[in-house]
Amino acid sequence: MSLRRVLFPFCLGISLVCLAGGYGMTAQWLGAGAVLLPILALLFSKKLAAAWLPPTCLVSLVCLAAAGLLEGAPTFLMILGATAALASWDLMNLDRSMAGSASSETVRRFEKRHALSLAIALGLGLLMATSGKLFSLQIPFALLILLVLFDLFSLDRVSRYLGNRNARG
Amino acid sequence: MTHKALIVALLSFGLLLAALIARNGDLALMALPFLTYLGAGILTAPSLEKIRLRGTRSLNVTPCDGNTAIEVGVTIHNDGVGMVPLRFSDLLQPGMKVTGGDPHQWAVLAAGEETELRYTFQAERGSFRWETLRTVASDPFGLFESELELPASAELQIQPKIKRFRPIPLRPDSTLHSPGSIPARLGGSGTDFWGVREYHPGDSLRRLDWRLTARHPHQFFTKEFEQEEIADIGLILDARQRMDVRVGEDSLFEHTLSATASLAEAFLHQGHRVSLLIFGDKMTPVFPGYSKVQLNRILRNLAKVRLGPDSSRLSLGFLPLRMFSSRALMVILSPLESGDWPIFSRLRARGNEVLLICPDPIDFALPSFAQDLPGRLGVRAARVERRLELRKIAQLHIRVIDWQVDQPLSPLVHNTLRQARGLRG
Repeated sequence: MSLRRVLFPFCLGISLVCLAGGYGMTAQWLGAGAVLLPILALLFSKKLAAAWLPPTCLVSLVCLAAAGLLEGAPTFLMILGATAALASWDLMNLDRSMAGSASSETVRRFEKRHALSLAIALGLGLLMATSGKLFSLQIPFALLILLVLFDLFSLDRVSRYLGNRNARG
Repeated sequence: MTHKALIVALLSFGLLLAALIARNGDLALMALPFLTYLGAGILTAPSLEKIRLRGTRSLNVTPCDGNTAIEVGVTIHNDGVGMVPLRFSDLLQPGMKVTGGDPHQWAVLAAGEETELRYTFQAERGSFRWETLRTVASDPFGLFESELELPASAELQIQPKIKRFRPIPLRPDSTLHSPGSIPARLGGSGTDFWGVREYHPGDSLRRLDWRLTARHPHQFFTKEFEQEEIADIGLILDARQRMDVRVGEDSLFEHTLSATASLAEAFLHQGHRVSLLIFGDKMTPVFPGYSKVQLNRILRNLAKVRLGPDSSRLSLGFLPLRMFSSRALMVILSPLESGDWPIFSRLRARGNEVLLICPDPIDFALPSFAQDLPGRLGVRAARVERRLELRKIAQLHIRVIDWQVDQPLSPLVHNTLRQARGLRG
């Protein structure tokens, strides 16, 4: 069995346990039940073959995690749940794009590298989020708005730079 | 930037915006894994300047189940530095049926490494040409992609299948003055006795008629033999889209095309001069010529023929007849439609002899028709209409072969041309 097919249900399971557990800990059973729906949809989205379904499920799970946070669910569980949902969505996309390709050494290596990069990127993100929780930093509201705008501007510049670089190449 | 990157960017931005609105720092922390995911994609996005790939394409042709199986192999070598996740996809051209392997592949190539894309396809006929291999280099998550066309060229032609015909007994009204196999009804140097005439200085002494010369003293007579010459033949293949009938994988046009190739081979083998016009949304002429060179030219053009997407306004009336001599024997291969018959009167008016080979579309499509009463009546009505149309054409002294494509064409051509010779003789 390929690595992506092993990791996908594993990440989805983590997301389910974290989000439903977080809601359960604050006795919000309706929220815990609502988590099941996008998880199941993501699990069976390959069979349903609807291109819009996986991103919709990811957005739903992130919204549920954000709502759980606002309702007082444990922060770490909610962040971990959203991160695991992102990982499972990524693996789901990888599985879709590689559908039909024969299992070979190159494909296995490709999967391994993908999984490793995913683990590093998301692990780093989780680490930063956890450390952010540990170190309290007071940022003025206006500066926060500026930071968000800067984030948006940076994304736009980076995507333009990448586009130009490829066009030159 | 792919859709995937856009979704992640929007999610992280949405979380940051929600954190601002709700004045909740935890929501902003939730955006961090999304931002690191995006950041990792940006940092590892490949630059086309640094990618150095080299591709070599190989083709291996083998006959398989009446078709031709072609194994395509493309070896991609990474001459650059670093590890690049790559996605390759090869261009699938019309007429290709992939039977093994995959024309798409993923690979991660370290510097100096190589990988191979290998797949097999089958094709009845066609002209296939590859220039490049489409390669997409991306970051490991597929967030930012760069597309490049990797040069890996090759060319292949699968010519239509030829069925060998027995020598076709032609007896056209006009012949070309080159030595051939058709009695030309002219005195000259042949093998069959034609007549006797007075001796002209320069005549070979071998051909003197000594008996007649003995009866007439002081006069010499020369025996003449019937000249044998070649015919000028013009083939016209109807390649209009609407003339094609498909039943499953089988196509009426492919049968017609194969018959054209077989006839060209038979005529050229007998030494005749043959030209071809492929009449579709694009006219493809092959000007008159002889021998194997001409056969190759014809087969090469037949291999390339594709039925155009729209030829609804084309009628046989638009045939450019000037490329054919008025003394040529015209062989038209077409299932015909109701407005096509005026071309035959035009041809007869020019003085051409015409042989129409008309593959029967009704018989070909019979298995796909409904077998109930209205279906059977419809088939009968269509047959009557077709028969009347063919009779109208036959009344112009045109030889018509109503060809059911599951029958061999060679005996039909022989019988039709033999009957025509008998009538004249």
